Amino acid sequence: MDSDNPKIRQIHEGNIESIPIPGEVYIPANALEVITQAFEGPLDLLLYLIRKNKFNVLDIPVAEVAEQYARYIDLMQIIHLELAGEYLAMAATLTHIKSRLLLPPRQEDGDDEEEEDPRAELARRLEEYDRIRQVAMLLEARPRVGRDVFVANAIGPPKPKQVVFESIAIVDLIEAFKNVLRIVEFSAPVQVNKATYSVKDRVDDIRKKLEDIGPLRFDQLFDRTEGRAGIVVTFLALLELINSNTVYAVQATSKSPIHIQLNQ
Amino acid sequence: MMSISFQELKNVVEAAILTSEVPISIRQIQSIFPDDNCPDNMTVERVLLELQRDCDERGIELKKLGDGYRFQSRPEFAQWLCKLSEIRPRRYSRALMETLSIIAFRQPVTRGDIENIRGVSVSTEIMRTLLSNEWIEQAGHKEVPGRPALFRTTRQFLEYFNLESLDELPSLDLLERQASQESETVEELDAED
Repeated sequence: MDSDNPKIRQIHEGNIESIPIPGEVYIPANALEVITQAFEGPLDLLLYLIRKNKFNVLDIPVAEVAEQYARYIDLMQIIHLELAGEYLAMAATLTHIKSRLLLPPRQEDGDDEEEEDPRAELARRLEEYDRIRQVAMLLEARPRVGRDVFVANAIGPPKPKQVVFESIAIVDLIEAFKNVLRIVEFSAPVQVNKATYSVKDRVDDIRKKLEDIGPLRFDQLFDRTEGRAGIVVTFLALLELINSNTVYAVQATSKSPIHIQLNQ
Repeated sequence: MMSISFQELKNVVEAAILTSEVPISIRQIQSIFPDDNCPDNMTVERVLLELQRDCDERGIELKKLGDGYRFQSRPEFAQWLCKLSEIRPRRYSRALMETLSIIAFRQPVTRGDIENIRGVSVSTEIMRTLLSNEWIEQAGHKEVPGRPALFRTTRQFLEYFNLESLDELPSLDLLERQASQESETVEELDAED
């Protein structure tokens, strides 16, 4: 492992060496900060103590470690650090293991069943955590985008701005229809026309018109000379076509004209 | 289209990678060619290898991340290039890196799994950062009481940390070996004392 890498070393050591072991020693004012920053939790603190004393994780002298651990907890309490429950739980675990080691092994469970070392579970957790700690250090040292490597990207000319047509709601169509109606009302000659219009025929007319000419603006569908009845039929035919998915209505923005086109 | 020469193919692939906003895969490279004139995997791989070799003497390299390829600057130029970058790289806490490492190694994992390994509760802030950076994503639920969410790392995680695959992280076996060597050294030191 690249231990010369300052990044790794920084994480690895933190500022731990500057923490005084409590006792009669003077506690500097910034000790609180140092401790909270230096340890990532009870396992981290425990690992530090084990490493510092060059103990073997698989053969932890629990009594000694528990005592040192407790002294750190005391320090944290002296400087009114609000202790996370996890630290206290670990202190309890250590004490529990210590007491089990002091007691003679229980006999009543049967001789063939060898009692597990009470430290085994703790050692397993410490090892697992230690591995993750190492991975985290390696990950921290990986070349990172924006810090160590920069993506080479040839950015092309700006793409032509595409008008994105959005589907519109039927209410928008009705609104547009009202406008057409109003224009007809003003401009249609007063003339009684007895022609009858069929929605069915109009459906075919519109479809043919769109096939021949292509997409049409909404108001281009209407023939104003047909008067109110004619344009109502056209509108109903249009709704019919939309409903059957033969055509669809689009609009670039909510204020722009509605276009009708065939569904290919 | 007439079949194109190897050199032309190389130029097209180079341009495609360079103009793509995200790393592109061999399959994506093949998709830009017509079906009846599509270079096979081996040809594309050969093209990529040559493009990589062409970069040997240059400031940029062609890097594989996940199954995608992108051009990027070489890490040794960071000290100059970072001056051009307007965004200062964010520093991430040890807690965050450890949480991310657990997810990378033990995926898919629940928050409970992370807590068990780190020995402290998982910070919501950290999970939110990891999710919003798109380094991790939800991967369903664990079928145990409470159905806790499972998390795994993403393609963006590989891209950000410059990893071709998760295998590039040291295997746990290797770390175990190192750990046992370390403890042996410790024992030797103890013996000396």
